[in-house]
Amino acid sequence: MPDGALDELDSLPRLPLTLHYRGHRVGAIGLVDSGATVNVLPYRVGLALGALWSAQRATLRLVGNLAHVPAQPLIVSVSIADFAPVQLAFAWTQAEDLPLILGQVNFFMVFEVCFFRAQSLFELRKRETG
Amino acid sequence: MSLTELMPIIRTLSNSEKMQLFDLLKAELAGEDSIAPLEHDKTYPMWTPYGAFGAARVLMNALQEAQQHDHE
Repeated sequence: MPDGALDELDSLPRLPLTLHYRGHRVGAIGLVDSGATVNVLPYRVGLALGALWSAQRATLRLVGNLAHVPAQPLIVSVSIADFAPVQLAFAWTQAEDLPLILGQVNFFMVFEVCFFRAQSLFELRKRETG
Repeated sequence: MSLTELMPIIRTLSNSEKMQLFDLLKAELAGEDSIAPLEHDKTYPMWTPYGAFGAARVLMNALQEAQQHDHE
């Protein structure tokens, strides 16, 4: 999958996707980040999906820059390219100024990813289950 | 050590050693170019949640619950 017309210094693996949640549909760009333990959803994207913030459910504890920002689990159906929609579990954070992050739980559990940095490309394959 | 002090030493090197030094400096400069966009004395946020295993467990449980709910 091509990584867009990004220059050599900014050829981050960005992935266009569509999020579906209870009748709402939102397009977004995900950053494929194999160093991230979890998927992270910025606050504005969750709101655009019509999700309701609940202080009681905001029990997720993240790390680094996100450590002091509340987060709650949000399960979202996600369409990527020609693949059938998949369910991804996000840490929906109240942080605003961050990318939508696709991390080990559970994006990398659903897709096999090959990076070809020299060509500014990466390739996705749906993981075989069972 | 300054360049003025280094020059007499460099002149004593053989041609092949000068070429090795040239390649070494070229590689170092290329490396510096690649990090040039990061400015000194500026803070850059690192959003990647490394090692958030507790959060990962909670998300996996939430996902399993959602999948069970879908099957019911």
